[in-house]
Amino acid sequence: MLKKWQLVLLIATILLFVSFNIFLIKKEHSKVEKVEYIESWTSVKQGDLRNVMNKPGVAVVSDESHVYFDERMGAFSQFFVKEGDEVTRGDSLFEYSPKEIVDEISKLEARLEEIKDKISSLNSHMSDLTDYKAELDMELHKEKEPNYMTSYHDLEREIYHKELEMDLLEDEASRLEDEMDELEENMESLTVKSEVDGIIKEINHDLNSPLMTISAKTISVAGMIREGEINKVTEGLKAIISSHNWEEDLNGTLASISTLPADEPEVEKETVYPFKVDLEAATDEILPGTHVALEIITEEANGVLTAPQGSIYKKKNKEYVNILTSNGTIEKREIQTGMKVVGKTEIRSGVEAGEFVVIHKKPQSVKHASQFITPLKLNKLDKPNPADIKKEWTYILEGFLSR
Amino acid sequence: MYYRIRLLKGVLFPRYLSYQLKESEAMIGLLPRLVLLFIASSCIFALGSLSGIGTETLSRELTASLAHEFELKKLLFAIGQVVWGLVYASLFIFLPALFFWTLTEIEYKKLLIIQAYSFLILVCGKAVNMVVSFLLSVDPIYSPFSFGALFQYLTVNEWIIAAFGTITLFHLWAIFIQYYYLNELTEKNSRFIFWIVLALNIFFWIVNTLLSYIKIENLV
Repeated sequence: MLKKWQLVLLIATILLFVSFNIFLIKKEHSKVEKVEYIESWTSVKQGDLRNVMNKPGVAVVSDESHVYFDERMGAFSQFFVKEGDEVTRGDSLFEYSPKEIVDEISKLEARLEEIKDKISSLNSHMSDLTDYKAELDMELHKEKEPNYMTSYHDLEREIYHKELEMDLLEDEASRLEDEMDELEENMESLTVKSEVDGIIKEINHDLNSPLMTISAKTISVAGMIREGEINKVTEGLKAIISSHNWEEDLNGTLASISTLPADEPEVEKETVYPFKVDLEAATDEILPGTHVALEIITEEANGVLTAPQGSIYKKKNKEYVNILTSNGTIEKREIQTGMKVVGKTEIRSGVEAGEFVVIHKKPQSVKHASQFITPLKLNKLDKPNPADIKKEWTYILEGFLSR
Repeated sequence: MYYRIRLLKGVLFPRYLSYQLKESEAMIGLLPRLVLLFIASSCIFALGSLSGIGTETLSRELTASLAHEFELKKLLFAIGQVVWGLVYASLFIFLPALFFWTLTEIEYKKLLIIQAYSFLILVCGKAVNMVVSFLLSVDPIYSPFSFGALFQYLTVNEWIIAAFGTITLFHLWAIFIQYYYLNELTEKNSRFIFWIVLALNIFFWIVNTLLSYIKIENLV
């Protein structure tokens, strides 16, 4: 057949030919069109994205306000409420004994009376003097007696003195009145009123401090947040509160995060910070102490376009997706992304809803405008409908003629 | 003398086997081997199209159809390819044998065996071609075994590129086998055999190319 050297030459030629072809295909700026094999894809959909932090919580009463006994106000008189009573703002809680103040006010009243009497007598005295002065005035006009002159002047002086005294007395009277008003006010504050709505939690009948503890009626949910997580949450975030015992979840807001740790910090122990979630709507149904599950929404984007994580890839600090077009080609498109959750990312710009993006197993970029092929996916086939087959029979022909 | 048909041996050792074929009077095992070739052919075409190879023109339907519609179209396409696989096998084995039978004195059955040998090459060739093209991310027309890549650089005419893309080294090998066996089995002139083998294959090539033009025209 073939001599040995001819065989070798033949094989060499074949290898050369094949290698040359491979070179033509693989080289940069190759004229040979590439076809991409696309295994999975999906369309860009509108959706809601949410990042949450799950934490256990317990329902607590939101505020405890304390009422104290001030000895300077007087002796203790009586309580108006007992433990367990519901109070609203302005309700009387207890009162001091008014005795000392009453005494004081009486004293002041007496003094005031005194002064008023004095003022009256001064007044009448002064009017007498003024009358006398007027008489002298008339006499002086009739006859110029030097003695009358002196008397007249003395009289005037005395009138002025009396006026001055009266002014002083009137000042003192008004001072006393003010003091009395103040004491009357104090009398009112002898009845201590509640400043919050709530339930009387504890009354210290020994009159120790605090005299009374009032629990406000608002229930909120308390939880702990770990040191490593604390910069992921801020006050004001929405939270969803749920429990096995309820049918519907409740909405709330992260009302406060304490900047101080729950316990004394220790090097070996993990530091946790307490936080409080206020409920959106006050409800009587939760008892303090109920254990609940909290979902703190740390990030949220609603009604945005989303695409799976695997469809987005980065190149030189820009982000791209590969779009499957209606021409059967792949289009490389630059996009702007937004919020990310596990597996999905928000796309702010670059694609429209309904466009198809390629999902890559490994990030890769494809040559722009390459054609693509897809394998048959049996799981996506429905039961073959004779009507459908009739409609699409031309594809059989196409398959038949395709080379 | 009995001749047991061994397809692989026939391809790889034409020297010995052609002599044996010449001398034998009874050939055993043709039918099962033909069946095997038919099955192999339709399998290769099925696997190819189910993987998506050659379905570029279908891809534009992806955005326009629902998922199950799109997959149905691909399935129908695959069915079409499978049917072609069978037709291709029968055309390639029986028609040339008929042709050679009219032009030479060789027994028809022997001619069938020769065509079976060359078809084996074509089937294996197509399989190798598909795999290699897939790995290189190109259409089989541009396979390193074919002339498509080369002509891509020589011309811009799509028809020419496609036409030459269907000729692979395997085709050339198959043609060679045809020529070699025919030559051995006939008393006719080598020149003559050469030209009829060439003519036949060129004819097939042209028809094949025309058929693919029709398909393209149909779609566009």
